[in-house]
Amino acid sequence: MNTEEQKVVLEVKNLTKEFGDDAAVKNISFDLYDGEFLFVIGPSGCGKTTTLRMIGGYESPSSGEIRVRGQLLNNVPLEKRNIGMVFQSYALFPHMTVQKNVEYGLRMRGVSKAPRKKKAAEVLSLVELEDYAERYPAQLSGGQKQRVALARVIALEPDLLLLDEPLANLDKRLRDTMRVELKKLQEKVGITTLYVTHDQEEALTMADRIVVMHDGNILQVGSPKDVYNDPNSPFVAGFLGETSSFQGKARIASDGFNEIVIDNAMIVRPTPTNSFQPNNSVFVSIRPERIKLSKEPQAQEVNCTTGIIDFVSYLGSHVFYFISVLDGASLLKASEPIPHGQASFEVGDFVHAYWQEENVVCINGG
Amino acid sequence: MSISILSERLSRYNKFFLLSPLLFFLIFFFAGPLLWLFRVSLYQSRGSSGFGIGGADGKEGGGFYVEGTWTLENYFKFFQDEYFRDIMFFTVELAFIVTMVTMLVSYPMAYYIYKAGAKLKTFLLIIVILPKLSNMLVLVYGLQILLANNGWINKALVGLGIIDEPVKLVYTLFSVVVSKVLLIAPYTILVITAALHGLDRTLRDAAMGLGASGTRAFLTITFPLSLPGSYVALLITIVWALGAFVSPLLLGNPDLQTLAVEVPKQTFENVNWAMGSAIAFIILGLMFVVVLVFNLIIGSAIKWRTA
Amino acid sequence: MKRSIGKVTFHLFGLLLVTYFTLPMVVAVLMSFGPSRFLRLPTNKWTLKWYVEFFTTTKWMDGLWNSLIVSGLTIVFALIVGMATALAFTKYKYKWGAGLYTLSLTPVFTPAVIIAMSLLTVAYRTGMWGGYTIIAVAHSLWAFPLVIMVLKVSLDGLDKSLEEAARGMGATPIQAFFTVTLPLIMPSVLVGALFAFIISINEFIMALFLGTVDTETLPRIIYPVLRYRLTPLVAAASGVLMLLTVLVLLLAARLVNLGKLVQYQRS
Repeated sequence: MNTEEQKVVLEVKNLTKEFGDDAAVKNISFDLYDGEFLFVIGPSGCGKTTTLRMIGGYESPSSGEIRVRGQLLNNVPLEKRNIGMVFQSYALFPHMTVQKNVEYGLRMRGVSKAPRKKKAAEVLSLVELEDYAERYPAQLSGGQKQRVALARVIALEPDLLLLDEPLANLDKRLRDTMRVELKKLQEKVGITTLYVTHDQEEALTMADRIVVMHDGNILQVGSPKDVYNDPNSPFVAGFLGETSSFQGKARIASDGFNEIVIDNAMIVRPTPTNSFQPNNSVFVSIRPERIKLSKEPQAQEVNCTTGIIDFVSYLGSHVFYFISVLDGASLLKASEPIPHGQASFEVGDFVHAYWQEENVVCINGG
Repeated sequence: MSISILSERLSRYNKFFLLSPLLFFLIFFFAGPLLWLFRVSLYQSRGSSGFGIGGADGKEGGGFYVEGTWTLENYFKFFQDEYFRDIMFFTVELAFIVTMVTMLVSYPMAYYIYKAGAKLKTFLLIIVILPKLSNMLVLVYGLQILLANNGWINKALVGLGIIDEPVKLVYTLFSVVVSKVLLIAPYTILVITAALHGLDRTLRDAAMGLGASGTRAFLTITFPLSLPGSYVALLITIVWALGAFVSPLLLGNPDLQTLAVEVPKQTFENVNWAMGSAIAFIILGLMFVVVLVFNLIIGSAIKWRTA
Repeated sequence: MKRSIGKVTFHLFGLLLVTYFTLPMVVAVLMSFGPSRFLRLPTNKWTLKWYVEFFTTTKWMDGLWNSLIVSGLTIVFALIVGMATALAFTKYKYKWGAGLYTLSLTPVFTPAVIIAMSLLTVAYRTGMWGGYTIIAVAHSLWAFPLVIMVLKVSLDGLDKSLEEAARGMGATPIQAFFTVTLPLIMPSVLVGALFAFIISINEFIMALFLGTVDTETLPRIIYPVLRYRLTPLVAAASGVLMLLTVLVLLLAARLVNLGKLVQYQRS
């Protein structure tokens, strides 16, 4: 992504929110580019929703700056910001029809009846709810309510769209469908979007870029690929997707490059590097889909280990093996796609697990 | 970079702006007047020299008290005069009687409602609220007729052979109590009903499962747990009973006058506002004392129980 | 056997109490339809003559009119104080919040005589004595705590995001209140108003102290007649008051049901 050519829509600088002695958001900074679909993810209480609310104007920051298209928003009251927000509960006005809900913002702006109706109709057809204009929110399904919530803010053509865990209240099937719909809608309208969620799967599937937050701080910013494959901290490694994590000690191998020894039994070798000091503690993470299993011993001496399969989880399209390694001290997670429906191994099997050096993530400390 | 200091200030402004009607009313129409009431009770009273509105500057023939004076004479007069002391004792006496009867009536009724099925419950709740929604004068009027010598009650008693001759029921302590209880009971019944409904029903079931009979379960589980709510009801009753006005006034006799009845008497008949205020303030004082005493008793009872 | 005796006694007691609560009113209403001037219950001769006399006598009609004016003012005061306070406590956290909330409910527990006497002394001093306002103020002290309670329950039940959503779409706080919040709590507002009305129209003691010849409310006119010259005209006047109360209650019930009905339709 060539950031020089892209316009910055949102700039967050040194944003902090304190509640008494606690700080929910601690001095975070990030930018959002035109048309981007940015995800802010993290566990409950990490400060993501507070950040969202500060950008929208629903909370005021303790310090820091928020700029949209260069304009400082800190002193701009909520109703004057051109930012659309979709709430987790959708917050549709129960006493108004869908039509009136969608027209509401335009009405507040003083747009007269005819252009209002026209715009509302436009937006409703965008979310494919033209036939529902005269219904009341109570008569809509969860997915439909969400689309109305989107429609009514899109009608205002905001500079920025904020989404607060919009799919949290939907069941799994609907969530998966809505993910695709949301992404398509966002691309079609081209609206710059900030999406907050604790569901890392959503982020991986939909985001252009991801901001990972934990305990009020930003840990990492990057594309889904970058954050998944190159996490910069044990937390990020563990938060996104599944992983097997180990703690080991660094040392220099015979060829002069780093090796990590785990439990004096397993040797892990990342792509050739010298960045780890001997005897330092190193955190190791390996994604389950990168681990291969075999009943036969393998040729490699590093990046492998042996163990007994403790538990097998059948997930339809693939299986998940929980392998007890290092004499039962740790658990290795490996997954195997099963296009023909038959898992290769079963509980109790003794297996050799191995992987390539480019699939190992090593982080100092941890 | 004044971080929304302005909007913080504005929202703080809003915060207290919204509360201003309440504060205005509480200060100027509630607390303030009560303080002023005390002040007025410290005025020297005029003799009952005509009814003069206006002329609040102590001019001859005008004003309800002598301006600018400060004296405790009204209070002295009150406590020294047997007439007033008797009224005060009767007020307290009546309050206790009314409170006892009200609680005796209210608790079982609340329990009855608690145990009732949905339809009956709604019906009963409406019945209970009814006296509160009607005019107290209507009730008094109805009671005057019911309790009269040739009223329904007497007719029924004679007819059933319980008594030979009609008994005087109206303009007695009985009628005063009956009336006041009718005015207070709706509140206490509702409060206790609410308290009972707030209890965990399964506790009683658990007790019975452990072998307690219905009555024992009630006495050892339900009743004690409903006491906090009932205590609130009790306090409300005492406070209101001390302020009994309409009942003694319209259904009592000259021997059964309370402090509250004395207030307009002093204020309007004797044109002695200072005295009237003093008596009103004494009623207030009685309420505080009684509530305080009860809190102390209950408080120490709780301490004693959990010691 | 023991159980059923207990049960019967229980139900008998319930019946007794229901009678206790309803009989005085029933008797009063019956008297208003009887021809007899004396305290005798009507048997076969029903008449509306007392009601006719009521509606044709200036004194009584003036009293009714005064009562209605005072009640109207009470509704206004109670709603203003009640609404502002309920909103304040729902939206904001205050330092002495819990205490202040309890404090706002205390006037309702203060006996009428105390309120009446204290307001009288103030009314006299400030020249408010002799107007409708001071009576309405006194009545509001009993009414607004109820309004606060009713509105607070309603406001607590609202989704907080609704107002935020309205603001986010460009509504100022006042616009958001009138277009979103108020319509959604309207049933409770009306119920509160109606309670304020009922309290005020039936109130006697404060009206006695604070009213003057020009502002005599109906209960105040009833009182001396009740005390000295008992006639069924009093019953008719009481009947009119009761009728008003019942109508207002039915209206309240209708409105609350209507509110629920509207919500049902939309679901």
